[in-house]
Amino acid sequence: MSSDMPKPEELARVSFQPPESDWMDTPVQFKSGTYNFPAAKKNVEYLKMPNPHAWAVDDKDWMLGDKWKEKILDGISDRLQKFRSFSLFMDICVRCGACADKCHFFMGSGDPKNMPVLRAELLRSIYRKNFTVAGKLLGSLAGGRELTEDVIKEWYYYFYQCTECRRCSVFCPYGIDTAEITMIGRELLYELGLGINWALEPAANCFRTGNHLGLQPHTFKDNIEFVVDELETATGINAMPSFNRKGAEILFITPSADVFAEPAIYTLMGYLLLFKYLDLDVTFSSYASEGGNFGLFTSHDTIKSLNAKMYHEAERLGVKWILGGECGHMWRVVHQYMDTLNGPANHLEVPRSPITGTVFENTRSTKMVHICEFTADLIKHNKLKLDPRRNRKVIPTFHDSCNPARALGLFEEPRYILRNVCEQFYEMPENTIREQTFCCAGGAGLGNDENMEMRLRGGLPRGNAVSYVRDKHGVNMLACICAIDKATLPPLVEYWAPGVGVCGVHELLGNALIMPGESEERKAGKINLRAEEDDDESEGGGDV
Amino acid sequence: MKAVSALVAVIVLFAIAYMVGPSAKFVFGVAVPYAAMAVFLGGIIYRVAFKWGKAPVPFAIATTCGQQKSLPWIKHASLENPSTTGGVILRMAFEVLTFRSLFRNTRVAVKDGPRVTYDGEWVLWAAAMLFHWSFLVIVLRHMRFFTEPVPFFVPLLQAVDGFFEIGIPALYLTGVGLLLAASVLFLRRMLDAQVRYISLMADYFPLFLVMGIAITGILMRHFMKTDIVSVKEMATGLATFKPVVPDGVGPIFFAHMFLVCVLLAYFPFSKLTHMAGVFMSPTRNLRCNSREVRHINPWNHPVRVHTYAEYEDEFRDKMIACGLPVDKKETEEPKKAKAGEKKVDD
Amino acid sequence: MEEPLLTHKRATLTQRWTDAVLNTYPADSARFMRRQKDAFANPGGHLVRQCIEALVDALEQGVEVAKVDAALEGLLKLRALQDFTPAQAVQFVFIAKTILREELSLPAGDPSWERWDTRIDALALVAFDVYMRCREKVYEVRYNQLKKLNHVMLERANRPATHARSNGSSEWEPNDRGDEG
Repeated sequence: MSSDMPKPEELARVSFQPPESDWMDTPVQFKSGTYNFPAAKKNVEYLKMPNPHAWAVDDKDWMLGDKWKEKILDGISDRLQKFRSFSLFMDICVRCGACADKCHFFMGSGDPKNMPVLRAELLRSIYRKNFTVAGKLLGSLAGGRELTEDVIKEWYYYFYQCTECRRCSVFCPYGIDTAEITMIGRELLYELGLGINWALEPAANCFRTGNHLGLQPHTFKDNIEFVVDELETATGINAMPSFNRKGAEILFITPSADVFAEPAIYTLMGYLLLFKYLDLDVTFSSYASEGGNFGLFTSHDTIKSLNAKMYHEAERLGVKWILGGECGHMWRVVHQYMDTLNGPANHLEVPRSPITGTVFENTRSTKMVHICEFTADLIKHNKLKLDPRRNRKVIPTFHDSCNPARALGLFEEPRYILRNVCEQFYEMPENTIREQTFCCAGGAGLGNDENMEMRLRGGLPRGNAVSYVRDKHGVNMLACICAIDKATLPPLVEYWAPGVGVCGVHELLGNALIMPGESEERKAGKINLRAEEDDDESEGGGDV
Repeated sequence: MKAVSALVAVIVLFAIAYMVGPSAKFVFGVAVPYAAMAVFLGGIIYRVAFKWGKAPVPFAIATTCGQQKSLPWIKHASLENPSTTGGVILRMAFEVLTFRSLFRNTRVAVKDGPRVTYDGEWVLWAAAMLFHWSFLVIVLRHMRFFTEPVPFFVPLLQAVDGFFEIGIPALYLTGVGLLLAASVLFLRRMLDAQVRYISLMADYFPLFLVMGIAITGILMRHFMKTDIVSVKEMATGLATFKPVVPDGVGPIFFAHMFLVCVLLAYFPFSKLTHMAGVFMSPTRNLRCNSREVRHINPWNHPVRVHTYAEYEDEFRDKMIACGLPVDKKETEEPKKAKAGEKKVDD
Repeated sequence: MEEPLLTHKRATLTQRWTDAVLNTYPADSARFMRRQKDAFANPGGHLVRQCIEALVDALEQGVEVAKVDAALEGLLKLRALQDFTPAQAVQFVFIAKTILREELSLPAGDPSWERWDTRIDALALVAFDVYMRCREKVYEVRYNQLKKLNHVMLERANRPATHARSNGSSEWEPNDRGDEG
């Protein structure tokens, strides 16, 4: 190598090192595969949100409309008065950096603006410049900066690179919750008609048809009938549920992915078998056919608007209480927003299990019970005949989904079920589970196809922990209780931890449940809900 | 650069007070302290009672860090996921007194190699604890200047703080502790690339200010003595609103007091308000029983909803055709257009 | 000496090589990846260290494709997703040439250079393969996700309709996305 040739190391540095400029002066660069497509104009219009317009991320002009700055500043001012969280979190961050390396997107992308503190500073800098004395007088010296179109683009990029998983808020000494800041940041963007389609189209669909995919009543029913047929093929049991039935004791609401996506449909099969087994007086609704609520990823008003269907339908059908399926963000809404927004549900009764008589005191006001709470209670009271041997080929670990973990603290119920329906169960390392769990990197509306590379980056911490237990304990199944997880973890493990599958907790329960009238094949544990046959008689020795 | 400007600012403030203080005793000994105190109190009250306090907490957004209270046979993490007010108080106490959330960062683990390593975040938690506790003890110790008779716990604190009796008068551990902790926090900001990247001038300035206060305090006690009786006379005067400025007060005292005044006045307009804010954080100070007890949102306004009747009007024929029960048997043509939501594609 | 081992230079080489990889990241991120040693709190940094260790082994003991492939996959899986061009993503392999020349005090004409260079070239070739495989995997993953999310629709479309009414999708608008719970 001649001496005037640059060394490879130097070449590398020239091209890789970002400008050493301050973060405030580094404009965002959009790279395909790492951002989300804009919300379609028709969806913005349909939900009657401001400034509907057609635009693309790589357009130079995003057509923010007249007086866009005023709209943003008014929006900030309005929310400072409505949310103590926002008002407080704009002021008290000391930038200690404890949150910096807690974000899965930071770990996977190495982009400093993915540090939660900096994600919040993107908004805080505008707040300081316009709403604080020091910022008005001293500008950037006091951490303020001008609101420009580049700032809006940066917000769009980074507020849609946050899955609102709230892991950082666990470590913050003041409990600053980036999800609050992201949610409000997204609301502000919607003031200008800027949003992402993967969140807004499900919201618009849900408003009209009751579910994210826009399944009309007959299609919703047909899809469930399809799953029922498949279930009958696998088990010999017809577990057809009822729909929109007035006078039922319980209304069951689950994320609609359970009726169309793989592997979520096997979780639905698990529910159907359980209901059949118990002869539960339960009904599905085609109107409230969505447990999920993409309003949570859009705006507080949209949360309320979509969530209203649950109590509305429960009241119309005259049920006593509501049972909810496995879902992450749905349970954040149910636990922390529903009663406040659409309650009090005085038309319902305090939930009581008709099988065990247990009164679910923790749901006394909201009157909605998590299926894992319901099932764990059944198992504890010996109401289910279970044969864990039927799951002998499954060696599961449990992925705590962000919302059930950090918004409810639903840790033991699903684990209790898993331990009772499987022969083995292994935990991932402690700093990757429970309240410290890592996100699937596809929540909060980011689980779309165009954003796949960013999702896989953010999926590294979770994938890394899964591959660790795969190698150490032979784990081959990642059980979870979230419909978004069931959609986003399969690509994640396919990339980062090949050889591991994804399933719902109630799929494994459905496998283990000893049903009256089941097929001989099932009795012998030779076929599971996925209709995967297994002729291997040896115990636990089969390869996977 | 940000650090340098902050340092220069503090040095200038020190120099002003040191040089001008003794010749403008009334300004630096009476007017500035009263003004600073007024700004401090007024600012904090504004911040807590008006800015934050007036903004409601619309949703019960607690961060749960342990098992929820659900079925009676499942062990409930009453501290990390409190369902009672008592639990919340305990959670907050751990948060405020031991920086529990920050402590979560610190773990000992067997890492890549065979060695056990401690990750760097111990430094942050330990320095933060040392900093804040020293600061508190120092503030309490200073009550001996402002009160007569001196409350019983003050001499006690002094005795414990000066326990090692290094030097005469005894060196206070908290003074050294505060200076040490502030230095560590400063070095961390400078040396940790990540933290340096996110740091603002507003992060360096208060650190230098506190260091300046600690240094002038230590200097005054051990090296550049000032007449303690005069100081006490002056402080008591301020506290009882009968201000006097005796002659024996040296320039170093004016510098010390002026820096304290700057800190007080700066406090409500800066991140230092975290002292009050930490108590109001809705992810920590709420009960996590939001399904058991309804949380009230004072501005919960009505929104547009898609009612069942509208839904059925739009899909009635299809529902009837596939055997789904309906409330009204017949589609009423004129009503459909009116009640059904406007279609997006028309 | 027939085979100049890296033994006493091994630690230095590993360290410098690791640093060279980390230096391809923004300074702030590199600092974190270097400092935080926990494999689960800092998976990226962990992958870098693991990979470089294995590559140094290969330099010393000869390139076993299967081993090297596995080691490189760990790191390239991540780099294939990040903001690197293909060349940038694999370039760190060649950096070893520079480091070796600076660290090993061998004369320029020494015959052992040929062996080092051949081994590094072999590593680089494997790295190209692995990188391409990772990129292909990304697209495969995307394709599989689409299939899974529309599982019931696809299955229903592919089988004779059991219900005369079903047409398999909503008639409102084709929903190309927005199908998770």
